Amino acid sequence: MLITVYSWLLCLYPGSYRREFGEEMTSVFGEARSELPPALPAKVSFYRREFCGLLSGALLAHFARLFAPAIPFRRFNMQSQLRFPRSTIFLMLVIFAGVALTIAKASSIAGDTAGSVWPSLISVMVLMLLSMCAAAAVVVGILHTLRRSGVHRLENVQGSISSAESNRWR
Amino acid sequence: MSGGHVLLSTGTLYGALQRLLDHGWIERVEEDKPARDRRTYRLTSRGRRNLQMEIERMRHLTKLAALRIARKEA
Repeated sequence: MLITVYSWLLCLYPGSYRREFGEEMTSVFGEARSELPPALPAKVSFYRREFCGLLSGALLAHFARLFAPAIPFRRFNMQSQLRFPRSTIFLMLVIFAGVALTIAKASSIAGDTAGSVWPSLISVMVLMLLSMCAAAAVVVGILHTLRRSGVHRLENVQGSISSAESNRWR
Repeated sequence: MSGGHVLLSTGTLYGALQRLLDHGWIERVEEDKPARDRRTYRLTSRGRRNLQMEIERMRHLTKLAALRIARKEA
């Protein structure tokens, strides 16, 4: 019965993903289930992990399908350069559009005129943006002054490794 | 394989496989009698190269951790 529930839950995945991996996933789930120890806590833990993994996997698959060109689903690796993914700008614009639409909708429900809301909204947004930029600049400045930024720490790591290696070969 | 240390759900496993396929780091092995519920994957040369780099990166990190511990203990 749980395999049937699992198969139904696979419908949460995008169609192409389901066609590609659906039967394979059901088969692997069935196999893992048959190898479960008889203890109840192990079974509860297995089903919780499987169903949570299935739901989060479905969510990620939809997210990847929608935003795949914008958001790279890569593992974060340390790099000695400043990282600011372009997808962040896209997501910030989406969030901004969502907030703006919500405010516009709320003001239309309240019967206000749009003109009275937008100037104050824009000034608040600009003020927030400027204060965030200023705060970020101060933090980056302090970290660089103290040589504690990610770039410096990575340099320290690489320096320590190379010195350790040179000591070993002496 | 991990001796029970790593427990992956099927959803997580196939999400990772999908990303590896998308990146061209693994590929499906073409079989004479392909079964829809069981497929075999193998590393591509690109995947092997990336795996080697990742092993090297982790080796550096463990080396550094050992170095730090040795310095603190000394």
